[in-house]
Amino acid sequence: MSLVAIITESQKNELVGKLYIPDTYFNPVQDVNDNWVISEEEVKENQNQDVAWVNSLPLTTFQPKPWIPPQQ
Amino acid sequence: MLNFISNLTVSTIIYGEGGGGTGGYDPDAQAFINATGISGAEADSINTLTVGLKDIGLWTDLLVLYPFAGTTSTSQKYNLKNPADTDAAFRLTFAGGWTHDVNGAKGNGTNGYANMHFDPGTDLTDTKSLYVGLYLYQWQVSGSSGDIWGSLGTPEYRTAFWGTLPNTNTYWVTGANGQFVGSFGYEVGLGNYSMNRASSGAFTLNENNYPFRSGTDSYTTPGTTYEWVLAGYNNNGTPAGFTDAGFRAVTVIDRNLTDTEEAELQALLDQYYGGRPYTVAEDAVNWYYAFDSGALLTNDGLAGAAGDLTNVGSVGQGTGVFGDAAEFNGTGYFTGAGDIGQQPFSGSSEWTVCGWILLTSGGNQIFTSQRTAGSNGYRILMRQANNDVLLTVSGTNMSFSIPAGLLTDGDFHHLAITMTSGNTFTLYIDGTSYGTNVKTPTTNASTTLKIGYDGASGSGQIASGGKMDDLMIIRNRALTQQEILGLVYSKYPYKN
Repeated sequence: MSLVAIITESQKNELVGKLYIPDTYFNPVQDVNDNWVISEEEVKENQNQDVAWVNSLPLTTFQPKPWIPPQQ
Repeated sequence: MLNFISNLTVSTIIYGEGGGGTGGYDPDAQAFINATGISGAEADSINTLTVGLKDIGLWTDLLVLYPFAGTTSTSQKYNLKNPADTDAAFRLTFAGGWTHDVNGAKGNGTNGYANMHFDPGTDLTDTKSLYVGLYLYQWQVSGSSGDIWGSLGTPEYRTAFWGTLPNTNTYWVTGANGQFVGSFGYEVGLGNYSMNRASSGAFTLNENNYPFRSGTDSYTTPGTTYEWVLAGYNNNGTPAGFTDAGFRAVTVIDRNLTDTEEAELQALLDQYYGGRPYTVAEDAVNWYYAFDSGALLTNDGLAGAAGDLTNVGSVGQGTGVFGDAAEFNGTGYFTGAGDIGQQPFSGSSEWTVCGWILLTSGGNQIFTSQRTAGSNGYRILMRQANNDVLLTVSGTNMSFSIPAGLLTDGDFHHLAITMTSGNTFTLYIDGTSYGTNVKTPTTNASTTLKIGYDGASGSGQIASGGKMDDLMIIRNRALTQQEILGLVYSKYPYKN
C-alpha cells in the first residue's frame, strides 16, 4: 500500500519544477478526491532545503484515481 | 550465435576486456563510463556491451540504450549511445518516487515516471519502423494495473506498452487511430519485451526473443506526438498511469531488426545482466521431466538416468505448455526407476516440487507422491470436492484452499510446493501463494517416486485427458516466489 503526503495547491505550485534529489523532480499528482499528493519517497528523501518543510509532512495511504489504460 | 561470438572476440582483442586490458575501453564505452562514474566489473560489462553492439551492427542505428548503470538517478539517467547530460541526447529526467539500485530503476506506482525526451514523431527516421525493447526485472506488483512505457498524441498516435493485474492482458500498441499491435494475452513476466515493427506494418512481439505474436498493423502518418516516458505513459503531454515495474534496460533502434539481430541483441543484454532474471539455474534441479516426444520417461535433471521413469498403464503424450506433455488416461501413472535414497520434504533441508497441471474432471488426483503406508513420505493430492490441495507429510495432512474449479478450467496451471529450512510449506498456483503450513518431517520413506499416483493408497490416478508438463523436483532449495513467477511467465521451458 503506497503512502503519500497531502499538500495544498499552493504547496503543489511551489514544488513543481523543483528537484528533491539530484536529477529527480517533485511530481505532485491528484488522488481520487482531487487532493494534491506527493510520494513517500519525495517526503523521506528530499534534500532540497528551499522546501525543507516537505520532510515533516505526515504520510497517509494513497487513494489513486481509477486507472485509464491508453486505449480508452 | 557463433558468428556473434567470433566477431565479439575480434573487437575484444582491439579494446581489451576492460580498463586494464590490452587496448583500454572502447571510446564510446569510455565516454559513458566517464559520465556515470562507474568502475571495475560494471565498467568492464559496459565495454563488452558497447563492443558487442558494434560487432552485431546495431550501434549506428541505436538511438537509445539505458543500461541503468550505477545506483543513483544521476548515474542511471545516461543513454549509452550518447552520454551527454542533455535532453537532446535522450537522457532520462526522473520525477516522483523511484528506487535506484543494482537491479536498475523502479517506479513507485504512485507518481514516479521518467521522461526519455524522445519524440517518436520527430526522432525516428521513419515513424513506422522501429524496435523497442523493455528489459524488466520486476513486473508491476503493488498496483492493480499500469503503464510501462509510451505516449499518446493527436490524432491518436499511440506507442505504448501496458498491462493489467492480475493475469489478464498486456498490450503493445503503436500507430494511429488506436491501432493495437497486439496483446500478449496474459500478464508478462520478466526479461526483455520487445516490439519490432517494419515500415510495411509487419510486426512481431517478442518475449525474451520468443516471437509471441506477429501480424500487420495499418498505419497513417501521425499528427502531434509526445515524448515517451517510462513507468507511465505520456497522455497528450501529461504523464499518467504510473507503474512500479522495474527496468533493467530500455532499447530503441531506428529501424526494425532481423530475426538474427534480435537474437544477438537479446544475447548481449542477457550477458550484460548475467542471465535472464529470476530463472532457475540448471544446476539446481535434480529431477526434471519435460515429457517431450521421444523422452517421455527421461529425467533431464542432475540425478540423470537414475531418475528415469517407468510408464505404468500406458500414460500417453499430448500438447503441453512447452512441446509435449504427459497425458493421463485415468489408470496410468509413472513410477521412478528405483529408490534413489532421498525424497522431497524429508529432513530439514529445503525442497521444491513444481510443474504444470491440467485436470479434466473432479475427484481426488495425485500430483506426485513418494511414500509407503503409515507415516512415511509425502503426497500432493489435488481435491476437487474440497477445493484444496492437500499435502501430506510424515502422516500429517496440510490443506491449502484454492478457488473452486481453478485446476479444472481447461487450462494448464503451474503448481508449486516449497519447503523452507524452517519446515514451512507454501503452495503457489501460477505464482500466487495460497497459504503456508508448518510441519517437521520425521520419516524418509524408502520407496520410489510416483507421478499421478499414490503408492501408499494405491489410488489417485489423474483422470483421462489430464496433463502434466515440465515437472521439477529441486533438492536443498525452496524456490522464491519471484523464481516461480519466472517459470510461470517466461513462456520458455526450463531447458530449451
